[in-house]
Order: sequence, then C-alpha cells, then structure tokens
Amino acid sequence: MNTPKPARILIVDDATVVRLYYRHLLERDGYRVDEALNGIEGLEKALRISYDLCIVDVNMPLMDGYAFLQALRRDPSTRNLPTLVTTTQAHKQDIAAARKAGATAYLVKPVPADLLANHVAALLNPLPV
Amino acid sequence: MDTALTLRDLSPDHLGSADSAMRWRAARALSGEAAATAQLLSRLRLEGDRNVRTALFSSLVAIGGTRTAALVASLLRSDDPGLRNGAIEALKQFHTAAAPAVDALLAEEDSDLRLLAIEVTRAWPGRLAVPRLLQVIEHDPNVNVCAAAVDVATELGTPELLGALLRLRRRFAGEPFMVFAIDIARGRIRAADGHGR
Amino acid sequence: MTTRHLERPDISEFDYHRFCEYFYRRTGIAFGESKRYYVDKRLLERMAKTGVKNFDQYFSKLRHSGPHGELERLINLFTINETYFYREAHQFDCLVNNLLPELIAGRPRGARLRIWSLPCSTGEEPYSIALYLMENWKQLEDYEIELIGSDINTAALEAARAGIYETRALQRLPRDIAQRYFSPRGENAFQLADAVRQCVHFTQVNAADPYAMAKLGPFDVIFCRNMLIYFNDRSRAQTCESLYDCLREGGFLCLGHSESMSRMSSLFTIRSFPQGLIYQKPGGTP
Repeated sequence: MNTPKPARILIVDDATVVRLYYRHLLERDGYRVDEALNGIEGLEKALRISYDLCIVDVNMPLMDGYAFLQALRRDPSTRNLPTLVTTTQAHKQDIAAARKAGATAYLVKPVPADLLANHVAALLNPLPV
Repeated sequence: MDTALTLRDLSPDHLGSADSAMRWRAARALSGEAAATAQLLSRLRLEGDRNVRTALFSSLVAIGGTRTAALVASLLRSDDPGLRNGAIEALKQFHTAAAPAVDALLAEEDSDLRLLAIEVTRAWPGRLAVPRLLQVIEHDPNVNVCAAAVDVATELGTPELLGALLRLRRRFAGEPFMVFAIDIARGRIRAADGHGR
Repeated sequence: MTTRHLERPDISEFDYHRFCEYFYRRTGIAFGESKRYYVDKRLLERMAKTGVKNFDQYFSKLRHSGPHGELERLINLFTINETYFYREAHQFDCLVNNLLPELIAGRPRGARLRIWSLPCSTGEEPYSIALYLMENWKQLEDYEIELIGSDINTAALEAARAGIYETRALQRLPRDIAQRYFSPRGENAFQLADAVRQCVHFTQVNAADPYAMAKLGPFDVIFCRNMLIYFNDRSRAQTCESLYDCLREGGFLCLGHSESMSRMSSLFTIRSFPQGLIYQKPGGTP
C-alpha cells in the first residue's frame, strides 16, 4: 500500500508575513503549500491544481475572500474544495456572510497555531456525519 | 457599435439604468468629471455589479484630489468587503492626495478602519509611509493593525523602524505570529541597512 | 563558464527574498530557491549596468522606476520576448478547439468574427493566427474572420505589412507549413505568401488611449500577450478597462504565459481550458 501524498493546501492572503507564517506552520506539519495574494490568483491556481484545502482571507485587493468563495462554488472542479476563512472582524454578519458564501469554517485573526492545526486536520479528515 | 460616441453622450442618469452594460458605460463616461463626484459615490453604495463598481472607482480616481479621496475613504465603513477593498485599491491610486484621509482613518476607534488605512500606505514612497507605520508600531493597541504595519514594513521599511519593531516584539511576545512577522521585517530592513553603510 | 561556486557577496539571502517578494507582488512571477543562480545572475548584470554600489541602491531604483525604466528592463531579462511564428501556439490550439466553437454557437453561418493581436510588433502573432486557422480550423470557410494587428510602433507595422522574416522567426513552424507559406528571399530571409499577408489588416494604436482603442472594437478574441506586464498599476488598470470595452460580451482575452489578471484587473471571468487559462468578458450567450 502506498503512503498517501501529503495534503496540498492553498493559502490566499495578501499579507506576505501571514502567508509565510502559515507556510512555516503547515510545512512543519508535513503539508504541501502554495500561495496566492488575492482571490484572482487563488482562483487561477485552484482551477489548475487540485487542492485539499484552502485558507482564505476576507480582505484582499481585486477579488476579496467572499467573491473568491462564490467563484469556487460556481465551478464544478472547485465546488467542493474545503475552505477556511480568516478575518479580523468577528461580527455576526461576517460569520453569516462566510457561511452564505460557502465557507466550511471560520477563524478570527491572528490565528493561533494550534487552532489552525486542529482546523486543518479536521477539514482534511472530516468525520462521517 | 459606435462606442466612442456613446462614451461622450451619456449622462449621470444612466448610472441608474437597469442594464449593467449601460451603467458601465455611464460610469466610464464620467471618468474625471468632478461635477459627477457625488453621483458616482452614491451609485457605489447601491451598485451590486462588481464590474460597474470597478468603473465607478476608476472614474473617481481620475477625478483625484484630497476631497474625492476623503469621500472614497468613507466607503471603508461599508459591511461589503468588495466595496471596502475596492475603496482601498482606489485610495492607493490617489497617491499622496489620500494622505489626509489615511491620517484621519488612523485616528479612528474602529481597529478595522485603521488596519485598512495602513494598507493604503503600501503604495506610497517610503518617506511618506514610514512615519505612519512608526506611529502604528509604537502606539496602536490592536494586534491586527500592528500586523498590517509590519507587513508593509517588510516591503518598504527603513532602519528608523528597527527600534520600534523590537519594542513591538516585546509588546506582543506572547503572540507567536507577531514574533515571527517582526523577525522577518527586521531581517529585511537590517539587510538593507547593512548595505547602506 | 567556471564550475567553481561563484561568489555573490552583493545579494544576500535576505536581499534575494526581498527582491522575489517585490517581483512576485508586482508581476506574479515567482522564483523559488532553485532559481537563485538564474535570478542573481541577471540582477548582478543589471546592477553592473546601472552602476549602483550595492543591492539596496539597485532595489530602490527598481521600486521607483517609471515607464520604460529599470523594472521594464529587468522584466525583459526574465521573460523571453523575442517574437517568432507559433509562439505560445497552445493558445491558438485553444482558439480553434475551445474559443471559436463557443463563439460561433448560436451565430449564423457567414457571421463575422473579429480577432485582434495587440501588440502585433512585426506581425508574427497575427500571421501565426491566420496560418493556424488555415491549417486547423475546419470551419474557416463558414465564417468571416477579420484579423487586425495593432502596435504603437509604426516601423514595426511597416515591417509586418512587408512580411519578410529571418530564419530564426520560422524555427517553431512545422516544416511543411514553412515550406508551403514562405518563399526564400536571399540568404537568411523568407517572404510570407500574399494569400496570408492579405488576411491581416495592420493599424497603429496607442493602448493608453481609450478612445482610439474603442474605435477599433468590438472584438471576439483579443491576444494581448506580453504588453500589460510592462505597464505601471494605473496604466494596467486603465488598459484592462479599454480591452474590456473592446470585447464583445462573451469575448475572450489571451495574455502571455507569465501574465495574470491577478496583478491587473478583476473585470474578466477566468476560464480554465486544457491549454491554459483564458479570460472572458461576462455576458453573451451562456
């Protein structure tokens, strides 16, 4: 039996230090990581490469996180990509908006390392309902 | 289709057309028209089509000036992230004319407004951006606002930020992300400084 | 070329990362650790040519470069810009197998389809499109294809109209196509057949002028490869708006392989085809 390849994760965030930090944590945990700095770049990558999970920030230029999620849902090849939305706002309307846009989970920044790890692991290995 | 003539014939009334293609052309036709500033702005608050929004922002940027920048900055309070982020990108294109608006936002109580304001400085020359970054790094209580300043500092920070970044590192010593981010920023700036001597 | 490890005291690890992040943010082109030698070599080349004392000075120069400044020269070093026939032909393949079928769906036979090559330089790109369509599109006779080539450079346009090319420009063409459509003219030159030259209409345009651009439209397909990457943020956004205006609803826009709308504009829908990503103006028949 082959060892499964490590999960491939796409980080979509316009802040360089955030992308570097998540990369640092995720690679340490053995995942393969790609980056995009806004929703357009994220979509372009997601349409060409099969990712297992996407971590996406809300506030980004040209295509924000919600628009990105909507675009993912519209395309059959990316419709079921699990997404973890990060944002600085924790208001109720943001949580509702994330859910409406099709996000799988939602985290408030700055994201603690252990919380990120737990959410990533859970999203990559969903328990049967 | 005589697009060239159409651009010149449209009026602000067409901004409210039911046809998004018409609204796009109307928004484009008003590019640089200072008299249409209020209409362009009020349309932005209502506009659901992302492309029409892009055209509206573009036309406001073409008008330019500190007053227009301040009006665009008012959109940062919107609940719609697309409108907020469109306003940020537009403000970046105002260059130094956006400085008063940015400074006003940096004094706001709402940390998200301060965070978005710092993002605009990414488009500025170092000598304009650095004082604002310094102010945030020294005094802002919010971790995400500081993180935004640190990210801009990795790109255009100068040695005068080094001491402040070190103090920020102590301030957020319990936040591993901030420690990581500040170390990167300081490393980038120190490397530049070493060559500058 | 020596095999010993070359000393590069001027570009530290931090400098390399700082440059890569800037270049990535600016152009979307990403260099990893494996490209270290490749990138350093070109940076050092430009540093020597611009006479700067160190990388920091060069980086500052880069960040403040205006149109046709240092950033453009550096991008030129990193992207292959020589033009030749059938360059990035996978997009022509996409045109024939994916874009045209979509565009003609719902249109009557004999309908006119307008294709634009901008910038067309000395004509290799629009002529390549003509050749590729003649060789590969079975429905060429059923529709009226109008091919326009535009550039700001009038000397290039004159050369394009003349249709004479060096051997180098033909090196990617399949042999039989080169033989069928080109005739030798002197030692290192080939003349493109009149039948192909007549397929393309050349006209001057300044991409920064939205009114001039709009006059030439609307188009069904625009090839705008390796032009936008050189513009500054504002010009890029403005030119994208012009290109959008020049496209019919549902029309397609093809950029160069190292270019992406992610650094330019959100106006276009992204379409993923086997041959790559193509941008589309929303609207038109779904």
